[in-house]
Amino acid sequence: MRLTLQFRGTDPPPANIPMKLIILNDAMELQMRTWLQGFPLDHQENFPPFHKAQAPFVAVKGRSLGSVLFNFCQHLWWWSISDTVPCICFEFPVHIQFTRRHTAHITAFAHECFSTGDFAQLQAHMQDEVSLLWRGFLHHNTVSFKFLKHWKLPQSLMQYWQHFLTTIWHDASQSARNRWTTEKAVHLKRKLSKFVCSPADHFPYTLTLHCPQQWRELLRRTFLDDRGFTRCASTPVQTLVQIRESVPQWIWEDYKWGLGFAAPLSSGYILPKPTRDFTKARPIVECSRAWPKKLGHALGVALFEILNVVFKDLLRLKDVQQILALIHQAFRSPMFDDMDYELYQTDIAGFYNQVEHHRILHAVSYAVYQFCILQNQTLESCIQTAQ
Amino acid sequence: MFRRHRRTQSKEHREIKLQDIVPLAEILLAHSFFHVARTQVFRQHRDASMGLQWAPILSVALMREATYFSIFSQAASQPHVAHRYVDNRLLLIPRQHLQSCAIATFWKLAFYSAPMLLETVQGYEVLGFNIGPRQSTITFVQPLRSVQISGTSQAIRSGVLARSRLILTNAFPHEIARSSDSRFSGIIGQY
Repeated sequence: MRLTLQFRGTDPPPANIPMKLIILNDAMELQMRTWLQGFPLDHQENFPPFHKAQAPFVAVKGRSLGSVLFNFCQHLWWWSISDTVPCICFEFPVHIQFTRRHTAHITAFAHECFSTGDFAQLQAHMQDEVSLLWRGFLHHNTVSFKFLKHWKLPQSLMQYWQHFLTTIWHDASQSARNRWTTEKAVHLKRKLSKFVCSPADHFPYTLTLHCPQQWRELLRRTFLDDRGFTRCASTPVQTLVQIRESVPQWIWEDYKWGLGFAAPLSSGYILPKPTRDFTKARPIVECSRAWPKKLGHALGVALFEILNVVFKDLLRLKDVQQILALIHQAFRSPMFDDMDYELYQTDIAGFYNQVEHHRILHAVSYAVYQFCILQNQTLESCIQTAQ
Repeated sequence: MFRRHRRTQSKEHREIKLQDIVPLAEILLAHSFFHVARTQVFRQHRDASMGLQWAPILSVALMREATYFSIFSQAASQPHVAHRYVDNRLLLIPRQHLQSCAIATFWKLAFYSAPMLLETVQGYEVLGFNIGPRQSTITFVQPLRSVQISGTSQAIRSGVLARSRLILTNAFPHEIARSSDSRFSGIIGQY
């Protein structure tokens, strides 16, 4: 087929990459499927001979309620150590103001503050999808309609797709009751705009409200703690340049694939801890889009392979499911019925921000040497890893 | 055999020399800079940042349970479940055995040397599930999904089914799992 096409001077057909469309309901999905199946047939004259065009698509999620309501990123962006903000604790409901707390200013879960109407839905629902407005729906589905570009068809055909979107939007918006609409979400956002809205540690899908002074106090306590963090005088761009210049030549030669200096510096934020009555926060450093992303991931995979050999028993239970399976097993054992069992839990404090670097490096070095001994390898050997 | 295209190194799989692992880790730790606001830059001078892909796996290299269990091998034969999951530790044990020599050492709040210290956590919520040691139950503590979700019914059903399966697999005993599952079936029935 490919050779025949080349002989006739045409290109091989493009891959059937599914388009990522936002679909509001079942009826809309059916209408889209019918329309997209019929489109290549209706415009057959635009396709080169021998080509059997297909327009596959998948439904993708729109914006989540959390992405609309969480506003802590704005507060982080404009934060400076010396700035002062007014206290708005009096804006919290009276029963929250008089609740005993361990902090100078108020932090509370949104569903505890307001229990009427849409506010009652704020517990664990931040992942819910918010239906788009017409403009957003049209924009997303127009940009995602890459069928014309893939098949090198004239862009003038886009008007048929947009006309079709107009028709189906009208039908779908009639039945979009009882769902998070953009209007509802924006209304909630306006009502909560005075507070700093964020998720909490271990409660990523629940909305937490903070007095701005309390939020800044948590930021100060977390990032100005000199036991774990040092404040630098340079700007993010300058820091990135300095890092780039200080990377040794041998890393540039052998591991250039792992460094992405076109990407930005890692960014930090906090997750307040309800288990510590919001007096502490967990610092998180977002590296998923930062310069060492690939090298960090590759190193993680390599270390996992090494430690899986060296400390095999410790990595036996890889996830929560396997730990629960172990508890199942204990519950089923006949010994369990005869004794009075109790559950004890502890949290390791300072696990992510207190251990000295030299101690980490010694531990890694020990693991690498043990791996070499156990696997009968030399240090010149390579370990395969994923990027 | 030449197959038209020159074979190149896979872009998904790379190789790291064993001797380079420690220097690479050192470079990444030494350059753990991050920004918080537009202009505020910080450096984490202790530990690996939470969010760095290889930080959780470091815990295994750092922790001392392996040494402990190799020395106190009788601790492993006790009738209990003892496990550390990143920075959370849980112990399910008969009350009378908690004071036994081996496990008491393991459960001491100073088991890891400073600066890593253990803090007691109250309650029975473990990793999103609620464990009832006296009743021998495991229940799922996350609330049901809202019905105010958009999308095709297939996508909504798939999300609800995923939670339902999670409960069926992990809840204990099976009567609890089945009763939770019937609540999910009610939601699925709406779509």
